Amino acid sequence: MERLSRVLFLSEDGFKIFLEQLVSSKNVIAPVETDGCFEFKTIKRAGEASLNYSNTRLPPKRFFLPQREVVFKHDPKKGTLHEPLGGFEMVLLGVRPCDASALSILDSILLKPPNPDPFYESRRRSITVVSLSCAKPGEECFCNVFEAGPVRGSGEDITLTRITGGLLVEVRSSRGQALVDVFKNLFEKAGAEHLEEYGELSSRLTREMNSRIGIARERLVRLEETLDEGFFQKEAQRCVECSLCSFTCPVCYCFDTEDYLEKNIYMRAKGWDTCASPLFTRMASGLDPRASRVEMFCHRFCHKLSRIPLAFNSYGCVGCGRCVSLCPAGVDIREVLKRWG
Amino acid sequence: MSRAEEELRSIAGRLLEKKEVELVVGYEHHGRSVRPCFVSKPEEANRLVWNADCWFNLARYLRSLRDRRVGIVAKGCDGKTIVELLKENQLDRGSIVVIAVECNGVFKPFKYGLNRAERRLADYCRRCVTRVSPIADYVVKSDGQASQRENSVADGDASDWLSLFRKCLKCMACVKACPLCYCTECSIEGFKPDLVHRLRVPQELFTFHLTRALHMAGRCVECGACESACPVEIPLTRLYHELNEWFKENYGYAPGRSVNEAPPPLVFKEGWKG
Repeated sequence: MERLSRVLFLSEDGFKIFLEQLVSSKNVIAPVETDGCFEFKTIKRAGEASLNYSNTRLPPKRFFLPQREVVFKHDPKKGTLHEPLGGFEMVLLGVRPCDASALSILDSILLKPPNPDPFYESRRRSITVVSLSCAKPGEECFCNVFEAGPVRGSGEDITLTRITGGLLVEVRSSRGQALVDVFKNLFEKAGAEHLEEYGELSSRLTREMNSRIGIARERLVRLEETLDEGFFQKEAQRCVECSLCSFTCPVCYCFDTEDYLEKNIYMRAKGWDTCASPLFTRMASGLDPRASRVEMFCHRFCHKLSRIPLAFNSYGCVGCGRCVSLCPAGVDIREVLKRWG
Repeated sequence: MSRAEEELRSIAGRLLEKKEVELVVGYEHHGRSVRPCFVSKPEEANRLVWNADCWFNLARYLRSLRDRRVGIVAKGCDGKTIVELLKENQLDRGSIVVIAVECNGVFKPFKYGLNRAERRLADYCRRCVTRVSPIADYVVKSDGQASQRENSVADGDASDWLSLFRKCLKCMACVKACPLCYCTECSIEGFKPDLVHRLRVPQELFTFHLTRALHMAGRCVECGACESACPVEIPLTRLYHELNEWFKENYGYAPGRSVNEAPPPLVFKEGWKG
């Protein structure tokens, strides 16, 4: 992917035309403001997109991993088996770098041979991700810790960065190249002054981040062995097992399946599950390998910071700060990072 | 530090020092807001804070601390929750020390995606008239101004419940943040009875929320924990408020007023009018 990197410039007016033409020719999903809160929605007019957001409340994960999807339908009378592979062509515009980086983590997990997830794969192939660099880091953001932002992520097809007079466009993949080619005449070659400004912006934003946590991989991956029971015991006491952390996480991908019968057709659905729910590990026999609250609580951190890095070579967290900000009980992954980082 | 905070800390410190309680559940600073904290040493009592960000209902933790002597910092609604839990035999009054703090209402919590959250009184606080917990061992008077309150439904249209429920992620945060939702086998989450699928099916969200609403009718103390925890901002407390109003009209009963007031479903007799 890296070798395709190409830097272009798009003027403010050019961006307006780009948006209008994009919306009229493709399915476009972009952040839309409702009640002061932003969410990704299909837009029909360029004006509907609001691009002055900090980040969307919910990550764009659901376009790649829907909360619930049917994985097969079996009709016993006809003897047919149908696997509805999802995904149709669309452009996901205005993804923040952290959320885009989450996609590259999901890629390394869900597309790992020999058994890639066909549902995720087909969606990933048909959706073009256009990221928009942050203009101002949020209060709870710590993407700098995992190098997942604030200017450039790792899973997007095109990176847009606002600079004076327009946007710097970085083409990151062949999918991104294909999209840029459609609107070829709008883009100009980026000049040295643009690149210089980009460099300055990048270092300024990183400096402005609230979190300064240095992490060391060799220490974090051993988190499980070095669990300070006292610390986790104390933190787990706070947790109310509400599962908001995993439902709003751009990386959490654990799922549950469910079989059921509808109008004489057998179906199997898969959908989001969460390790914060006691039902996650309870087996039919009643046995529960992670019965205590502390074990359940530690699991989330160990999975993200130790098991995913060991198995897939990238952390399971991008530092978007959703779990920190939305947790009703104030559980804070940054404290775990500070202690074991 | 406000005078109320100072008084709160000294009461908590004293209780811990005299070993009257093993633990004080309160709030502490966290980032730009506050979060629940558990203080077990007298010298740690100065971590406690009390301000308009303290929206979480701390009574949520009391059931899991039943085997210990606990002090709790209680707003009006936390106190009402304790009353309800006592009525339902979930707590032992002898093992809880209630430090009631006078409440002028809490703000809508800071939430992700809002760069500058508006500091506005939460809707449910605008309906509430309880300033001090109905059950108290110590009372800490507030030194703030009493906020503007109105005993009415707040602005904004919530009549279209169907479209509001459609936003629901079925993350169960409303259930888990609620101090009165304590069933060990949740009828919505569990497999017996199989009321709704475990995964989120859009058509079933109405069943989910109405089941919960009926379980909360005449019990909900309208502390707003569900609404504040909700990631998609469904104004759940308004729904439960409407059901509570119905209870009040028909049975003259409101939850959380007094431990001696029995809930109508327990004492209902044929032809009974409240």
